[in-house]
Amino acid sequence: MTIVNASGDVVEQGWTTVESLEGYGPHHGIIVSPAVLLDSFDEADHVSLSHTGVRLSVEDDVSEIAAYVPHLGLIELVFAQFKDGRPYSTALTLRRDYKFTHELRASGDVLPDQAIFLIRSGFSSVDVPDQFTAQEFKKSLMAYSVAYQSAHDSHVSLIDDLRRSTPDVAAE
Amino acid sequence: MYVYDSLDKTLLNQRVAEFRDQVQRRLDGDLTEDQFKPLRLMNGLYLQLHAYMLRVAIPYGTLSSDQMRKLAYVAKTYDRGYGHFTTRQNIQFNWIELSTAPDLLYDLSEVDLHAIQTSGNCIRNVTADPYAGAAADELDDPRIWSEVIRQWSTLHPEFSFLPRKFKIAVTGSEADRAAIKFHDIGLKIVRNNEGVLGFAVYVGGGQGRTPIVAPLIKAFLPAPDLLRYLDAVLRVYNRHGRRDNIYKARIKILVDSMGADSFAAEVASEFNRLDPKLLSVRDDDVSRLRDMFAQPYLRPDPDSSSSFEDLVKKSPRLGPWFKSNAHPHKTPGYSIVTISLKPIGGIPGDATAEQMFGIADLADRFSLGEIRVTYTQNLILPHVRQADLFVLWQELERLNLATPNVGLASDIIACPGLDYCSLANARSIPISQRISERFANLNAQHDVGPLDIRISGCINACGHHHAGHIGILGVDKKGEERYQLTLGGQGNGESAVGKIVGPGFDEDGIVDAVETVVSTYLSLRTEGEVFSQTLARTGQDPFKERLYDNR
Amino acid sequence: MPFILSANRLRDGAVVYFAQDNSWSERIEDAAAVPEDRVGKLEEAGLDAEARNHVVGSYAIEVAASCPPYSTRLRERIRSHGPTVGDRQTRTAVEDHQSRPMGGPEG
Ligand code: HEM
Ligand code: SF4
Repeated sequence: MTIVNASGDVVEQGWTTVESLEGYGPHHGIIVSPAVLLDSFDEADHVSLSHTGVRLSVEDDVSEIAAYVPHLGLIELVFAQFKDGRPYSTALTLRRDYKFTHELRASGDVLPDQAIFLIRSGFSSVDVPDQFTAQEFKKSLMAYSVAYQSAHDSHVSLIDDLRRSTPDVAAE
Repeated sequence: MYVYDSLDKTLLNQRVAEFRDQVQRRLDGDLTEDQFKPLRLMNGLYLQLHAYMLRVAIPYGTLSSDQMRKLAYVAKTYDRGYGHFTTRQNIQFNWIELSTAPDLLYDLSEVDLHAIQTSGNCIRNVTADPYAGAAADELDDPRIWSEVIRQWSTLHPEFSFLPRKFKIAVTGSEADRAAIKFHDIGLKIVRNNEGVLGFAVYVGGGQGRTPIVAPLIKAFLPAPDLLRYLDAVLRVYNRHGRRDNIYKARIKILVDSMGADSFAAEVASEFNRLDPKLLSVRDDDVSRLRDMFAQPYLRPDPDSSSSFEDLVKKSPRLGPWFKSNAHPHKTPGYSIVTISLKPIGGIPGDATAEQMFGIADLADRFSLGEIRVTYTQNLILPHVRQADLFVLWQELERLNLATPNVGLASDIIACPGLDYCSLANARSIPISQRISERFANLNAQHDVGPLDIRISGCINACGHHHAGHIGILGVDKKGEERYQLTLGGQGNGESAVGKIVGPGFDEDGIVDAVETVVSTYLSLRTEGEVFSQTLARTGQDPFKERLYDNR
Repeated sequence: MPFILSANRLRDGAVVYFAQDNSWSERIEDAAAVPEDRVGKLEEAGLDAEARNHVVGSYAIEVAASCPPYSTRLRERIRSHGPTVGDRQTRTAVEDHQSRPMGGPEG
């Protein structure tokens, strides 16, 4: 499994995806399902939550885990199909409405050619699908140096006039 | 017109380079067809029956003469010498090769043209009133707001993989010439009681297999809130639009199933969550755009005014042309001139490279270098001095572009149909050609009056048949082409969906049927009544009787 | 009735037919016609050419055993002979389409 960050560089994978908590203590860096999160974690236990990630499918409703969100160490949004763009909205909602600031990872069916959309929607890492390489993601991220809209990332240059009217969210 | 600045140029150049790389990876076999298809579609490149087809965006239907020359050059260099103007204010080239498409797009980018978001499940090229900036009844220039939307929606990170395509249309006039209520979002520029500029927002219109006239979702949206509101609509759609069934994926189905009121409420709550600072459209940005779109001052020239009588004296054929193809301009003494791309028996919307070069020159001589594309597949010279009409008309005649039939029976909208389109059930173009020939007598057409005939080669309804006074839909019945007839659609102003009259016809039958409908109207109409009024008064029954009873 | 195999060529999108000599030809006259029990083999040849990125969207077409092969589907006749619409430009298009030299071997 290869994880790239928002610059397209390969980073160490510190997280393990688990089906149940058996054999894992609270400080393991594990990624669980929303059901396990709700069943086994206390929303007030911020320390444990900071070592915990949750993995959401396109059907899962973020509002059900709302109380946990700000304290989670990672949220992974799984793309069912690259054509299904719901996770882009979920990502922005997490960043903007839930003020989630930690690692937001895209996984599942994503294409290198979508990398820039992912990062600009607020994802901070991508689990590179087997048939692609990290380099392809990096190359695609470098395809554009400008954008019209504000977005979550900061490497876009939003210049004058109309573009100025849409300041960068990340700059808050 | 809008002038590209360095950001626009940089982004466009990077898009061209990105696509060149994608094509190369495909040709080298690094991308499979499944992986490549969505990428090429995001850049308007389809694979049709005979070749690749490239759809080039004409933002809100406005072209400069230089852009038109480039389209002509592309038609000559990369295609077989012609292009097809479409109901989406786009142009399509039918005979494109994958291997040279990147060069073509590079050439287009030199005049700020592109194929970005002319296909795919994203926010498509924004369309607008083709009379923008020239019409007397305009509250504000819709191109200003269309350009705001173009920038916001281009390569939008969140809204490029929607459940389905998304089309936005803008009009600044009460007389809707952009069919806004048949779009996913229709925006009508309005002023509230205090005189503040804003929009009436219609959401969830469309054609296809479920034609729906969009309901009003917000009666008054202050102009600065435009993007914030669009953002909210798109987010609600991206989240809740159906993805399990391609035929139920458009926003019209979502709005319909939620009900317009609860949809509006959901949008309002999303809208209120969004930081007003983030997406507000600022006055100084708008005035910058307003300056760009302001037409150079036209000196009112009432002496130049030509009346029908004056022009008929110059040539008997000029009078009817003036009547059907010229529209009053907001400046006295000027006309908005429609160039008909519907010669009798021709292919609706097609123009040859020579014609495009010619039109570009005429735009320079007579219309401040500006050309518009209408969704009815014609072109417009928006600012013509009436004193120039005679010379312009002569030049247009020379180019075979002076057919005096705008808004009349032979001004037919037709999609490419089975002659080109891989989704088609039946041919559209030959039917339109035969109907046009049936009504070849232009005097008779003028006598029949305004009549809007539209043909689609399958239920996708690219030819807007639902919205035609007379609509024709091609279907496949056990391998045979059949044509269904609908009556009572309305594309402009009051939008309405036509109703199917009865059993379908074969190719000969449908041409006869259209003639029967028209002669029935002629026998029923009262003094001064146009087709749609007669039909509204009598209903379909007398037409049905004539069509089916004496068989 | 026999079957032939058609596709669009990747590079330019042209309509092509799988020929006797395992090449792809732009002329339906060159198409290899096989009996129904060998359609599977024909389709394999199509998938093979797709995998090697020569063509896209290959499929078998049922045709009458005439020369040239004749499909009862109008869509296929338009694919092989070009648009039916007769104006100046497209007549050229049809002629072009028919008079082009045989596609070189690609298979
Ligand atoms: C030749 C390739 C084309 C393809 C493959 C194609 C495909 C489609 C499809 C699948 C739809 C239905 C969308 C839906 O209901 O979700 C549609 C609708 C539409 N298309 Fe096309 N089309 C083509 C050409 C054109 C042309 C040439 C025009 C303009 C003349 C056009 C304009 C439209 C319009 C106005 C609609 C209906 C409005 C709507 O509901 O979106 N298309 N097209
Ligand atoms: S209506 Fe059907 S046949 Fe006509 S262009 Fe659209 S998809 Fe093709």
